[in-house]
Amino acid sequence: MIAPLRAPAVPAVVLGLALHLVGGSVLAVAARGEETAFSDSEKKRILRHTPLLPLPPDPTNRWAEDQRAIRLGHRLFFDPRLSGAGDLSCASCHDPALGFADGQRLARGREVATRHTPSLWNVAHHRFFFWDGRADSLWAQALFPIEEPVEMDGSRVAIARLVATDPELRRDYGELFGDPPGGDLVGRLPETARPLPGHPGHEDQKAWEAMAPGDRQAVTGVLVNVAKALAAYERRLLSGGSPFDRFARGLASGQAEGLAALSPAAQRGLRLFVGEGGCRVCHSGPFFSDGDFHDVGLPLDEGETSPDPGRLAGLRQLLDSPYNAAGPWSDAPLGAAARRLEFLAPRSESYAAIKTPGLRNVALSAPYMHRGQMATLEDVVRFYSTRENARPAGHHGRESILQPLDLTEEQISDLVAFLESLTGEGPDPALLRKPGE
Amino acid sequence: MGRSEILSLAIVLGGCAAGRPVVTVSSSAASEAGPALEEPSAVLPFDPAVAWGGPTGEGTYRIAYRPDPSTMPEGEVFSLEVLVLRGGSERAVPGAMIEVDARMPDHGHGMITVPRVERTGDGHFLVDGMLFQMPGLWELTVDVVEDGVAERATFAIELE
Repeated sequence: MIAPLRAPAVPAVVLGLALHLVGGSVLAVAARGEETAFSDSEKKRILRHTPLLPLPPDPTNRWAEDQRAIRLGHRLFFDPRLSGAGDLSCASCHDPALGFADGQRLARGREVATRHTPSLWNVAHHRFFFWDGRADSLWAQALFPIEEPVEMDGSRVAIARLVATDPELRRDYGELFGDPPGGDLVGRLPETARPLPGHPGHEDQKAWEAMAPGDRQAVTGVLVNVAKALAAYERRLLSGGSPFDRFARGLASGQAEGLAALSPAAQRGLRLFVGEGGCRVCHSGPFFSDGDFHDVGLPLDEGETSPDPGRLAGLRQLLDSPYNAAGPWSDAPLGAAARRLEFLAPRSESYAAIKTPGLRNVALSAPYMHRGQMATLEDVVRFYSTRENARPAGHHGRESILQPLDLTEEQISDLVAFLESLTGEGPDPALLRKPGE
Repeated sequence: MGRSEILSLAIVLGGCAAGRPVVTVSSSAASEAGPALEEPSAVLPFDPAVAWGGPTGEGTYRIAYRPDPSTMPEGEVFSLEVLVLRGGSERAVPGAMIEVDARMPDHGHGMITVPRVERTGDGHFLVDGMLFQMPGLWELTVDVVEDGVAERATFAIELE
């Protein structure tokens, strides 16, 4: 079908409505004529990116849909007591006001990390978590930053103490998961302890080794439950419908109101996105990600001497993790995600491969890429256009699609306009604030 | 049992077997192979006539396969039962091994899994760990290796 404004199927009165709704921009469309006509094959490709899919279940987390877990997770997400020094919460780096990221190039928790904070928008729709996919569930993801020394630097023993002694937390936790470990256990626990196998000399690691296996098990159970509550909340961070979705509905139905949802520039950008730009090859589906890992040949960043090993290392960590979908803490150790683990194996193209980020709400979480190397969306588009300083393809199966696009300045801004049209309405605003504020 | 009796029995069974899960299959080509006829006719685990498949590149073999679950899912592990038949004879190839992979030609990548092949009988294989992680066009390849020589069959699968 041919589209907006030039389509014979769109009656003149409806066109009039569109003009009324968006005024000058539609006039611009009419003046530009051809640029707004999408071919049948373009239309088909565009409609692969919409509508949004329903929230996928997470059988590995039996609390994923529990309203009490969502409420508890919401409070914990903003609770700095989960960190070692009591000053950092999940929201410190995943700030709702900054697209659930932090606006920084590299994440800054207790120290500066080696990767950029990824946005949490639509995180429930990811298949693997972290830039390198080293977790295969959202709750398993949430465990890491809490105890990671450069991030929140907390400890599971301190968290078990907190849950056992804070009256409100103890009550809410108990309602969901049963009573947390009581006074007997807390009385014999060290102040802090956590497994840090990469830091054998760390006091917390030594204290962890000194604990009885049963105590370790009980304490780990508390951390896992806390993470499952956090995940139940984070699953609700859904971008919702965007101008692009309204436009696509208009494209499918011929309704002018929908067709008017994208500016002419965004429509031209959309055409590039699904056409000669090749963006859709990896940024596919309703969330604009194939959920896979690719080496796009980013130049080495300041301070890097070799590329981030990416998926190659992440996959090994995932397969070894006691918190993966097949592990003892999973609520579906024989489920589909566990079965998938049996057959995951590193491939030559796994080296330096980084997860394709989704693009919904992408305009809210600058800077970009896994080290935040690109300050703006324009910088990202320009990199794919020129491939300036891209690392040459080695023997690791670099994406052959990544050839310079030589876009014009106008095309670059058109693509950015399209990316900006992917910002959604968001969920209940109360979910985006600290509870009680 | 005489030669002609075996042949007629096989043809009768083959003729009424379409759609059945287990079927004895032979064909006229069997009469050309003297020694093979002294063996019981091969019992195939499923009827290649109603499965998906096709010939390998040189036509030396015909591949028949059926997925489990029968509709290939997106994003979840599934398995394939694969039969390797001698081209033109419909007889399972006892000495063959296979390698199975799948790629998305439009996206330049393969599956996120590495499937495992288990030989479950003469020319019969169970391929577990297939996973199509996204919709679109997939190319399934089955390489048949016999006596050190490989021949490939390629099948296009559009995952909606």
